[in-house]
Amino acid sequence: MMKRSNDDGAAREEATASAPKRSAQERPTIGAAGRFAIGAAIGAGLVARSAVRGGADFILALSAGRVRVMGAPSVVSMLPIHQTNAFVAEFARAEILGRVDVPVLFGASTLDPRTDIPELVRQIASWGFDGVINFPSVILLDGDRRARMARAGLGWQREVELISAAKDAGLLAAAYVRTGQEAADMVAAGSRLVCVNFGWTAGGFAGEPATQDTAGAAAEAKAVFRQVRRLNPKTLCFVEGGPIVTPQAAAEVCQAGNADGYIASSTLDRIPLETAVVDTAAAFKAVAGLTRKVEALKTAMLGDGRRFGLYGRSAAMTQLVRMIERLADSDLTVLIRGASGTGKELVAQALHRGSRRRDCPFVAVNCAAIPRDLMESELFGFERGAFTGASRARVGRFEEANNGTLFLDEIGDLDLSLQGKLLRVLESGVIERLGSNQAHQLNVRVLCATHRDLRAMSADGRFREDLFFRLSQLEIRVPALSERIDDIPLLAQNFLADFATRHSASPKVIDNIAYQLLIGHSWPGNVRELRNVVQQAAILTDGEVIGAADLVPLLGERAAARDVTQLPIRVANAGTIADTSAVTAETERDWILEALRRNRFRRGATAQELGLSRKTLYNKLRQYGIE
Amino acid sequence: MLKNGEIVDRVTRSAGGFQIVCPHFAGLSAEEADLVGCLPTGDANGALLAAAGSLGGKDGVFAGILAADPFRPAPMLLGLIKEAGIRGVTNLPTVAGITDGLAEALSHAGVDYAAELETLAMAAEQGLDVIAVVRTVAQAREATAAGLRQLLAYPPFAGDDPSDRTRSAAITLDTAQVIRDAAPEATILAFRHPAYGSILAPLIAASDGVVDWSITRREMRDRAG
Repeated sequence: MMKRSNDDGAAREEATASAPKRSAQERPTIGAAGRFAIGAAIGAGLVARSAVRGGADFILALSAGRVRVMGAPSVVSMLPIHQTNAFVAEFARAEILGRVDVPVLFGASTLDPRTDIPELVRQIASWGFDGVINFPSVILLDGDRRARMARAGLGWQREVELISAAKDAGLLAAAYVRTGQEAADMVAAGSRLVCVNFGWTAGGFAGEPATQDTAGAAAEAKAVFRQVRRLNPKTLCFVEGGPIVTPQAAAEVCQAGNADGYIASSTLDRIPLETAVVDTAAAFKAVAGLTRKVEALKTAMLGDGRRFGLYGRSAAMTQLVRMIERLADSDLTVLIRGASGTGKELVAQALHRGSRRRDCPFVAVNCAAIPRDLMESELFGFERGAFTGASRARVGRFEEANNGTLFLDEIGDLDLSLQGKLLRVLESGVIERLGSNQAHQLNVRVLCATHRDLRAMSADGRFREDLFFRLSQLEIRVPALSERIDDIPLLAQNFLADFATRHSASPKVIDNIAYQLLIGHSWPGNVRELRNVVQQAAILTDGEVIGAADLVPLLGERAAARDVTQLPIRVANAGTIADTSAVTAETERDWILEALRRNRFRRGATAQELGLSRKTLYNKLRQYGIE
Repeated sequence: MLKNGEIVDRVTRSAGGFQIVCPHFAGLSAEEADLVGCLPTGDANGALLAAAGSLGGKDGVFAGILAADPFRPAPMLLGLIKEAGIRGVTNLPTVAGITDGLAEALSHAGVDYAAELETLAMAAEQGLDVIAVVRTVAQAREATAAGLRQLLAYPPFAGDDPSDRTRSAAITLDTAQVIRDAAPEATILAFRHPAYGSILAPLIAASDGVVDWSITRREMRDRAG
């Protein structure tokens, strides 16, 4: 903080404002003896409060500050675009008075010859302002116009009259001046604070080009202040505007002129705000760009199904995701087939999230988990009194899912008696609650899933054939984990990362031999089983690395019996197969054959899936006699 | 062709002629309006829009607008004017009389005579009748180049010194001549500034019509009241 030296020999007493609405104890002060003070010339409550928190000693509520808040440079406050005094009163009374604990000065305009100055001062005092300053001022006009205005009785004389009236009203009288003569006029009128205003602040994007340097401003201020102090040593001397755009420039001008303080305007709000907004916007943009890149990388690593929670880059998984993308936006019923634990519900959710219905409900019903007797009311709802115990009406799952998606899991377990009703609902889109004759027209997309063979069931008469055909308009088969063993390392890592996040721990890692065990396991329980095994291993393993010994107890007897050295080595992260002397020919032959089958004996796709070059694959095919 | 008109603060039923209505100038003399009319002495367009209902649907009535209002962009301002049924506009108050440092600072903020002309040209394109105030030879060239064809030659500020006024009157006459040369078909109107007296006779002779100041200064009105 700059300190003002006292070489003028006069210790200036504090300037005290005496707004009528304050008690003597509450009277605000500016410029305690010898202390450098800061004024904030602003136009909004937020800026005022922030300035005070930053140490501003007083606030000047100015129209120029307000137009800056509105996005224009201060200079447009010189245009006939508002009733200046009413404009200032409106925002300052609403946003500043009573909300800051420093003096608030009212920037009052006398440029309008129709303004009654004594009445204006009386109003300002009655509103509770602590002081008055002449703004907008004729000092911001050219000499020629000012001279003409003076001859017409307009302009400077009226500003002097304003300051005199403010002083007489017991308000803190402060004056903007540019010349020594103007300063003398204001000191004589009773101004307790004189601020040399060097004009519109330079800098920023909308600021003025600088027309004066700080050295020139310092010399000008020094001359004016000398004159002021000769007339009244107690008058506080401040500077503002022009080339003073940084704290350093303020220090230079203030020190040279031995100023008591600096009034910050554009330098307080517009210029820092512009810079901050530019920097912040750029930062947000950079973050957005970075986020996009990270998302793209994650997708490349985890596969296209990542957005649906379906992880994996195997051919089977990629094909599944493509199918989901193709079918998502259709309104047709989809039958999702797959063994238990393959993630059929995830596929159903993916179909919902990829559709136009994504913002509407997704309602899942497990037909195997609800007692047969309750299923009808569960699906279609009931009216009060529909049956014993129906004390109030209840909306069924179909109605809950209106405009969205209803997922009927384990549809093969749906009682035969209900299958006919479900078929009618699917055909008509209309439901009737139990105990009601009122039809409700619904717009629900139905997805079904089963691990059973519905075709065989319908052949046996355990499932209605017509319903089977209605449900299987479109069909998606979710591959078993054994069909996508390439995805096992990725899934395992993902389960470990999820587990670590939920438990606020760092994720454990799985060593290569353990990965071989995982890959070699048959996974009858599919992805669900893998998740359980990996999470149990994370809990049971003391160290940070999960080894084969940690997994064997979890994978059962087959794993214990398995000689891991007889497994093909898969490098977990790269997902490639490498020959090792330990890999038996039989194992590798089977491995390649399985991959060929999965890829319909397309050798290019098989080589790609296995991470082999075509040439290597052909050599191995020859080696193992595979045609 | 426009012939005789007056600058008023509200629409009156004066006989014949056209009126440029500028409520913002209410209570000001022509000299005061010159000096402070385009300074922060009120909301010029706000006052005009508040009175717009009384201007609508009348031929020969021109709304005096601050045509470079930074918070009322031209499409918005003209839209409101047309909505009120107003048929003509004039750039009064105008930044045309602001010079030197303040003019430079305002121009840096996008507020200048060129911006006013853009608004007036847009108004003309939208079918409004337009009178452009011009105060200098340079402005006359700009206005005619913008395609405006009804121009009000408005004498620049003049001091008490008779020689200043003579010089200002001569500048205004030159301005009218430039208009005539640039656009012979244009209608030139001369503002018969009450402070100039007979010095403006050559200008009036060179013009197609005359506009007078018909706003009562506040003290006189007060006394009259």
